[in-house]
Amino acid sequence: MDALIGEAIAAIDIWLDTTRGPDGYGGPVVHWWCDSIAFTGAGLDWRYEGIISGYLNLYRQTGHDAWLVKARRAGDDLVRGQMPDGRYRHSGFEVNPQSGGTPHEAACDLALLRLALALRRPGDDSWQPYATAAKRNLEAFIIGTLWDSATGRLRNTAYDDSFVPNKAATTAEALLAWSELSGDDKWVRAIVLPILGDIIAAQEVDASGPTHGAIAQSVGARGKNRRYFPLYVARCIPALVAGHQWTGEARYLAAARKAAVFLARAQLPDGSFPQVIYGDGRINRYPQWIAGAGDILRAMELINGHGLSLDTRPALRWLLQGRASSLSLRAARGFGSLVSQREPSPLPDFRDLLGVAGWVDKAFRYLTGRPEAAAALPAPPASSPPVTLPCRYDGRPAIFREDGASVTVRRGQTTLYRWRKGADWAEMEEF
Amino acid sequence: MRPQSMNGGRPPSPLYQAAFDRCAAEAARSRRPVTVVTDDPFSAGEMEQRLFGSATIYAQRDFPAQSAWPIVWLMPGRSTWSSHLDARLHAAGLDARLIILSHSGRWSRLLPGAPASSLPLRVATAELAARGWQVHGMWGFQSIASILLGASARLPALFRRDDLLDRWHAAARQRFIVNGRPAAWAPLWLITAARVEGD
Repeated sequence: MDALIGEAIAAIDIWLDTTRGPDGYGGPVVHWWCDSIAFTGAGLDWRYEGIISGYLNLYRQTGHDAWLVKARRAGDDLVRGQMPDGRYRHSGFEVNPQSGGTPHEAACDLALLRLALALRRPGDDSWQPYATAAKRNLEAFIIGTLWDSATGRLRNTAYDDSFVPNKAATTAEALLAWSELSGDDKWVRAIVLPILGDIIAAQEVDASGPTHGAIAQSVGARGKNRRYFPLYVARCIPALVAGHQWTGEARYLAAARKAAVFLARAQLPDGSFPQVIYGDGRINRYPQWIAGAGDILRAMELINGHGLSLDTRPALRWLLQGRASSLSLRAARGFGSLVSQREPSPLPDFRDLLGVAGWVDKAFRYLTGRPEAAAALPAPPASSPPVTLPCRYDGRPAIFREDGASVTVRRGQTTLYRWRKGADWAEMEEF
Repeated sequence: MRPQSMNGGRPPSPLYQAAFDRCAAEAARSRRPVTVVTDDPFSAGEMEQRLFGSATIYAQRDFPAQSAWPIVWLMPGRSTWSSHLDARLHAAGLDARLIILSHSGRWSRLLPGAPASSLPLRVATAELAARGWQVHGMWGFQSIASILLGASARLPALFRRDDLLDRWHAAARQRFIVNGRPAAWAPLWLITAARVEGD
């Protein structure tokens, strides 16, 4: 398993470099809500959280400056891509090239602050541009636009006043990181603790129900939206644990544990997780995240350090099998079954096969955070051989091909889709 | 510095998002500077945001006859469009490429805040053909199927079947964009055309 982990980290590092354009890490985005496959330019969204954290993990584990250089290069993308109003350009992820995406703006802040913390040394002020950019966004966008001081609640977006726990959790982590960097805890008391209280209020407490411990996707004027996404439940856990560490209050850790137990209960025998579980216990299983499962694994292992002993090996095996015939890590299984929810066809939807920087980063961060990561790293290969696979595109057979320069989907002589890596826009078929 | 959206920072609806994305992807295909022609500030802002400084934007009455190709013509409007075609594009050479995004006729009334300017797709393609332009690509945004699926999603909602509701919406999204002739029934359409014969 160690060799597979090292090989996956090395492959992802090489692949991430191939996705870079002049403004940062690019590529199409596929998601449960919608896809953004036409825009392939740099997206300054949550991909940077995992990329910067992953490179910092490798730097800490190996002491090699090359990893810190890559973390700083990613941080420079964010600083350079910050707009005059403090937001990051193209932070919409699945709605890129829009900006003002949540939790993406906060995830970028968190990445910058972790980088600043890693760089801060006496007599060295190289950390300051990263901290300054994060502070600008926190003040102007997160607090200036999303924080509703009248209700004491964090809005989903500038135009939606519902509370979305996983997004708020990322904001809480960013504000805690700012407090750690600056020594100023005013935002922790005023914003983070109310956020954590709202997350706990969104947790299902009926011990006899199928979703006990899960955290609702959102809470609005009409109450809880009783959709429970394992990925998003997992993304609440680090903030709850951090809240416990900051306050010493047991209720935060208890909530994190209950959420983790829900994840373990939701897990399927092959180590995967369904996409969404509903309040009545029904599920929509597909698409199942593969690379994105890194965030679930990270949460489960985090909670294992706090009194639980969840078996993460099946989920790790699920994640690593996504390396098969991929230059990076597959995004998902079952995009073609999104509507039918039937067992996916042996011929995968082309969206399953895509490496998506904003999903791969989650596996990268998790794998590089494992203690054996540094020792398992192989010597980097000069390049990766191209991958060619049969797939379905728009429901019909096609051929998927990826190399270091492009991703192409063809049917016969017709190019249906081409992402020239580094380009802002994909080419798609005409008639 | 790349510009921000002119929609007050608010993202456009999925309809416009899909249409402007496709339009930008088609414009970027040439890998050359692009001329954008429109009188609609919202469209100008959305396209400028997507083409990142590689676009020069003109009002319809101002754009020069010798503009760089491709020309992206946004929301041309039925009343003036053929006069602009004749006045500005009659001298286009065989390398000329035109990308047009417009509201359609009656179906655009389905859109919130029905637009003042619209141009039926069949009118546009016929008038282009009469002037020596051949249409290569044709897309419609928000197909009849996606409208019907969106409307019928009330059914699973009525029975509180959120799992079915999400699948319903996914089915509607998958049918959101149509290409070829069904584009004529969509409230927003996009075509790409190339000059195949001179005057």
